[in-house]
Amino acid sequence: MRRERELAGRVLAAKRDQRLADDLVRDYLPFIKSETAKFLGRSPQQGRDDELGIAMFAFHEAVMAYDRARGAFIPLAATSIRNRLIDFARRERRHADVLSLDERRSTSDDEDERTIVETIASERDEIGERQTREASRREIAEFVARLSDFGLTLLDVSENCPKQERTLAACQRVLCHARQAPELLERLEKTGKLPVAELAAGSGVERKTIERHRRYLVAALLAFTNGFEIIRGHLRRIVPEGGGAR
Amino acid sequence: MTYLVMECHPAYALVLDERGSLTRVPNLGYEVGQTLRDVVVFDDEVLTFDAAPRKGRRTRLVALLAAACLCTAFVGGFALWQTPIGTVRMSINPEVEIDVNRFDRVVGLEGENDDGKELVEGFVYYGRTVDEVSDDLADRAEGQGYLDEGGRIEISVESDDEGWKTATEDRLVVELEVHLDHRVVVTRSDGASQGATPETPSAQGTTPTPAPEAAPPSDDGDDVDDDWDDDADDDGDDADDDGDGWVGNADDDWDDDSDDDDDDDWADDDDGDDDDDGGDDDDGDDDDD
Repeated sequence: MRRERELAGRVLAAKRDQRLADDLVRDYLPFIKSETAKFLGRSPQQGRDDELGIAMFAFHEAVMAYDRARGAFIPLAATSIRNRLIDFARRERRHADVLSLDERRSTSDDEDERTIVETIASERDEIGERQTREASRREIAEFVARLSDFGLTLLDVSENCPKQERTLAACQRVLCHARQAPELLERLEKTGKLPVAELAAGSGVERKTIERHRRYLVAALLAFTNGFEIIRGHLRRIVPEGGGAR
Repeated sequence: MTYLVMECHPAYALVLDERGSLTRVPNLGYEVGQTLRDVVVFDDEVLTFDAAPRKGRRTRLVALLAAACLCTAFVGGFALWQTPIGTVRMSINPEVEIDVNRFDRVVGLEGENDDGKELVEGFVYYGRTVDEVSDDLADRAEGQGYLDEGGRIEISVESDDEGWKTATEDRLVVELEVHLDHRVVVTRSDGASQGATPETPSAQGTTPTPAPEAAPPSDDGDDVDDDWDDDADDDGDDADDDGDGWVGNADDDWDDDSDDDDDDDWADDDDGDDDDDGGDDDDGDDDDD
C-alpha cells in the first residue's frame, strides 16, 4: 500500500518533469520488459526488438495519462503497454512481406550466418552522412538553447503542436506570412514576444488560433531565423519552393 | 515524408516532420540529428483513457439525479408526514383537537373553546405520539384544575380510515385510563367507554375500575353464566362439574380418567386389556409390562 502511494507520487512528479519521467522509465524497465515478454512469448532484447521501444513509449504515455483518482498506476501501465503492442503488431502486419535487413540468412555455401544488410554492397556515403548528422546535432542543440531563452522546451512545443489538419494549415499560413515579413521575425527575436495582432492581420488567420498555438509558432518562427539552415531545409513543405526565401 | 530527430529520451523521441509538426514517437534506437524515413505514429492519442471526461460527466449527472430523487423523497416524505390522517377530539371540559398523521404523530393541536386554548398554550406537541400528547394534556388539565377525581374525558376520533379510527379510539381510551390510574372515566363520544372490551354491555360501562375482561378461562365471577370461558357447561351454575378443577367442558379429560369411560386414551389405558406398553394403567391389575 505504501509502495503504491510512493509510486503514485513519483508518477505525478514525472508528469511535470521530463527528467523524472526518464528516470521512472529506466527504473521500471524490468517491469516493461516483463510485460513485453508476456506479449511476445519471449524476453525482448534491448536495441533489437522494436516492441521494447513501443512498450517503453506506452509506459510513458501511461505516466502522462495517470490520474490518482482513477486507481493504481501499474494496471494502467500494463493495459497501455498491451494495447500499444497490439497496435504495433497490426501496423507491422501490413509490412509483413517486407524483409528485414537485420534478418539472418544462411546460404548453402556460406557457413556463418550473416544478416542481409551485411551482404549488400553499401552505396551510401557513410562518412558524409555522419558529418551531416553531426552538423544537425549541433544545430539542434543551438535551437534548443534558443528555445530555452523563451522559456520553452521541445516537449512543450510538441504538446502545443496543432493536431488537426485544418489548424496545421492555418499555422502554416501564419508561418508563410511571417517568412515574407522579416521585420516580424526580428521583433520576435528582440522582444521575445509573438506579434499576434500583425500575424493575424497579415495571414487572415483568427487571432484565437494563433494565441492557442503560441508556443508552437514561436518555435517555428525561430527556426526561420538565421542560423538554422538544416532545420529550415527540413521544413521544405511549409514554404513553397523559392517563395520569398531569405 | 522524412523526420528529423530533435530530441531523444529513453521512452520517446521528438521528431520534426517536413510540414513543421513536432511529434512524440517511440524511440526505436534513434539519435539526435538522424533523419528517418518512417516512424511509428499511433493514430489515437491514448487508447484507454479518452473515455474519462464522459465518465466524469456521467458521474455528475448521476449525482444530480440522485440529489433530485433525494429532494423529491424528502419533500414527498414531508408532505406525507404533514398530512393528517385523522383528528382526535378530546374533551375534558377544555376541548382540544389533535391532528394526527399516518405515523401516529401529532402535527397539529388546537383549543376548541377558551379553556382548551388556555390548556394548549405553550404546550410542545409537534412530532410526538398521539398517546403521549393525550396523556400530557390530561395531566395538564388535572394540574390546572379542570379534571378532578371521578371526572370524565371524552374521546372522539374522526378519520376517513375506518380501521385507524377504531384502533386509535380504543387505544387512546385504554391509554388514558391506565395513565390516570383509573381515577377518571374515559369515554368515547358515542357514549361507550373502555373500548378495550366492546362485548361488555354498555350498562356496565361506567364502572370506574374496569376488570380485565379478556382473562383466561376461570370462574369469571359473574352471575349470568354467559360462558365466555367454556363451551359445554351451560347448566346454569359455575360448579366444577366433574371435580377436576376445570370449569365447564364435560369431556375435559386431558389429564385424568377417573369418571368417564370414553375412549380418549391420550395418556392412559382404561379398556382393561394388556396391550399398552406405556403410560399409566388404571385398571387395577398388574399385568401390564
